[in-house]
Amino acid sequence: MPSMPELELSVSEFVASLNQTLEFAYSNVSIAGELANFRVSKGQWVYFDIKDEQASLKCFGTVFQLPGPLEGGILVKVRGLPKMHPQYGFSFNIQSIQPIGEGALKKIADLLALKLDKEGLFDESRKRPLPFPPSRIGLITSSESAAYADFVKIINERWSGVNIDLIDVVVQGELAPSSITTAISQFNELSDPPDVLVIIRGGGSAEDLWAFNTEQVTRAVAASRIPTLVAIGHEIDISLAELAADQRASTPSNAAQLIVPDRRQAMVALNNDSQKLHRAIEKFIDQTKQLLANKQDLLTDQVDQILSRAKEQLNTQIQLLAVLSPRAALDRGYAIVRQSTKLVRSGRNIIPGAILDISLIDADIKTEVLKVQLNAKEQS
Amino acid sequence: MTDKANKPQIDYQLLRNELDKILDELQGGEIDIEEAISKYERGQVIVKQLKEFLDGSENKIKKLKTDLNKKESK
Repeated sequence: MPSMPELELSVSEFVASLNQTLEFAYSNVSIAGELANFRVSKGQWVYFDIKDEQASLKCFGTVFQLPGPLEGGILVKVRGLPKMHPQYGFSFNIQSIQPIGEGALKKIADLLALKLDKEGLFDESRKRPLPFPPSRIGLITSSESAAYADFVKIINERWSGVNIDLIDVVVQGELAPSSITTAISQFNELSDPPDVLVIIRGGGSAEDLWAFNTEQVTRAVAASRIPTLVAIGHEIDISLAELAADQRASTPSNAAQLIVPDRRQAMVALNNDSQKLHRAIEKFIDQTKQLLANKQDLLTDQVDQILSRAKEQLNTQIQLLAVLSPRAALDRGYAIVRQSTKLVRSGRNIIPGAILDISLIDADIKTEVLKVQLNAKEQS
Repeated sequence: MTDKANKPQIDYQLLRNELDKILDELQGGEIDIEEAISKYERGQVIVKQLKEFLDGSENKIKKLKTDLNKKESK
């Protein structure tokens, strides 16, 4: 076996060369093991060991790469790059950590739920109402999934005129959290954002649904300026992303039912309102007519009153006239004396032999004056 | 601009609210007859528009491009 030529390197050169070799040899490696000595420094840097029965490996990363708060004893799968730091020595620089097995998943989700709940991320007071119905939905899911097909089918059955903008994302595996959070911020950054964000994923194992229990996704849902509706898995699965959403639906199909009304029901309600509209205007017109009729009655009444008052006045005048009439005097036995149609009021100008007409109630008499005797009072 | 073009021609909720308001006003009876008739006519126009909306329009699906790489390199 030919011996290799000796390499003579400086420390820096050796470290750089070693890192190159490591990067080349382990460009895509994940390591499974139990988490130990977990600690966070300055709220940013994360140090822990990952170990099995025989070996232990120092790991380093940032809090942004964590699925949520962690503690020792949890089984995880760590992806990253081995690296020799020029000062601090060897460590495995993590890119992502995923819990393994249902126990670990649940443990991590519980720890995270506790932390986020304390922060008030799940508070009822944070929940905003969703527009109903929305005119534009921002949909975040995998376009290959049954969840997507179900959602679109039910929306189409129930409602019309909705624009659905889809961002196709990875809904499981290591890439899922960043794929989903990127989609959420992409929608939020649109100059004309949709009315509501709908994030859906069909059923699966706890590991399949894990992305929706990560701190990254849960926080992104809570931080969305656009109101959110999240439906993950089956009815019994409740993810932290759903708890952080403004509204949760039990399944993707249920999400479609919650987000838009039913066209047939809306049509029935509209027909009802249309009838109400007709009835309201008919009633309005009837009332106006009645008001008019009332006014007409009032007018007639008043005219009647004026007429009957006038009649009464007339009667009084007629009676008065009757009393004052000369005929009334004849009735009482008086007579009217005329000399060639002129009424004789005094005997002064009457001389014997004059012809007078005397009117009685029942006869006219022509007579000749025999003598005129003026009363004593008249003579003086 | 394409976003605007894709928007439905009517805002269902807005029209629905307007119809409810017209009904309230007509049933309240505190407006004059001319106003009542013009509200009634407006109500009928809204009913027609809403019916056409419920009968007619289709849902549109548009795929937005994901920009995962750009985000990660930030």
